[in-house]
Amino acid sequence: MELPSFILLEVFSHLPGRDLVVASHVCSLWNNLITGRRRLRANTFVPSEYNPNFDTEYTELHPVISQLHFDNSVRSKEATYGVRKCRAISHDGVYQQLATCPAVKELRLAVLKWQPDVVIRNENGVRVKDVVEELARYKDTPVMNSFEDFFGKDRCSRMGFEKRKQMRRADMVSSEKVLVTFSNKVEKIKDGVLFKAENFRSQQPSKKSQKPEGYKFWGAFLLEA
Amino acid sequence: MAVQIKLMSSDQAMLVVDKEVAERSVLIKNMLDDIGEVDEAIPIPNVNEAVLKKVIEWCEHHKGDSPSTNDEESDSRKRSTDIEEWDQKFMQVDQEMLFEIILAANYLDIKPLLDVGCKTVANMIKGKSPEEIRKTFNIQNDFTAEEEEQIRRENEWAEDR
Repeated sequence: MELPSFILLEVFSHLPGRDLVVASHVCSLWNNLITGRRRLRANTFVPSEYNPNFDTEYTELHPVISQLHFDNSVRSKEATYGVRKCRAISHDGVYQQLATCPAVKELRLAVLKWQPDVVIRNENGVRVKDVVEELARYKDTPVMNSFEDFFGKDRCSRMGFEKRKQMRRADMVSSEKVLVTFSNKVEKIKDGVLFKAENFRSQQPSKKSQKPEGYKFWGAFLLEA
Repeated sequence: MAVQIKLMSSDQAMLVVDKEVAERSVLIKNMLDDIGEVDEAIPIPNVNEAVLKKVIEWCEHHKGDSPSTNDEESDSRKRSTDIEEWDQKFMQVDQEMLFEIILAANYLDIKPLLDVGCKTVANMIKGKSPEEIRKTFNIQNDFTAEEEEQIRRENEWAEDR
């Protein structure tokens, strides 16, 4: 006799991260159920110490980080990260979870072209918290360009940008809300890994609800820390 | 005297229970709310007599519980596999019966019982290796050699702590 999948998911929701990882190795059905559900998958990024002997051939980025979101209209403290669905994860201590599986000492995210990578280090394994904080800093770092240098005079006038104003990195992805997803192809660096941003997807507030899709996730993290 | 109702199991056994007890099942409660007083037995087509008796036993014991204040996303509920002593004893049944109880709790919509059942299964998984889990639940390992190799690596990560 077997339990149906929806009951299994209920069972898995009671398992702590380590047991969840083990359970995902039992058979392909369990594996699909656990790796397919973002919420459960997040649980597999359990806090752990960095293990220097581990071969990082397979590195996975925490699913929450691929919900990264730039929005220059919002100040960093209340800025933007992820979608509403993920809010539930934040209550399960995602903030303290590892940013990668397996753990790495250094994580680099190549987010913007022509701009240096976001570099995140933690001797005990980079966590989601480290990434979120570093990204907030990165996003708000001023760059050499003014709006006029970057967009040109005409566009500035059209878009209503202050021409002389110095830009921040977040301004370079324009004024839309932008979701960044990272490529699964990972470059290994010493003690760490490099993920490259694969695409930027503009997110408009959904017309149905007239409300933004709820990009307050980053803010929620920062408040809880 | 308490109002009693009759339930008819899938194998045509009639069970008489207090209405208050039966109403731990949201399914039955809604049904009674809809149809009002009934003399006839309510058919429970998905649950056999042995399982239904077990479920009623649980409902009897828990009839005084405050109506579930269950907060769907509550951390303590989700993350803990603590089970109170009476429930632990109650769940000491063979696996077939345990699964039957879980399915019945799901069908009859008795959330706290479903929870206890799922926690019991979770406890059977906890602390075991994948092979031990397969043995416990009689599951075939259907991974390819390649997948197995990847899994071996991931296991190192999970267990090396």
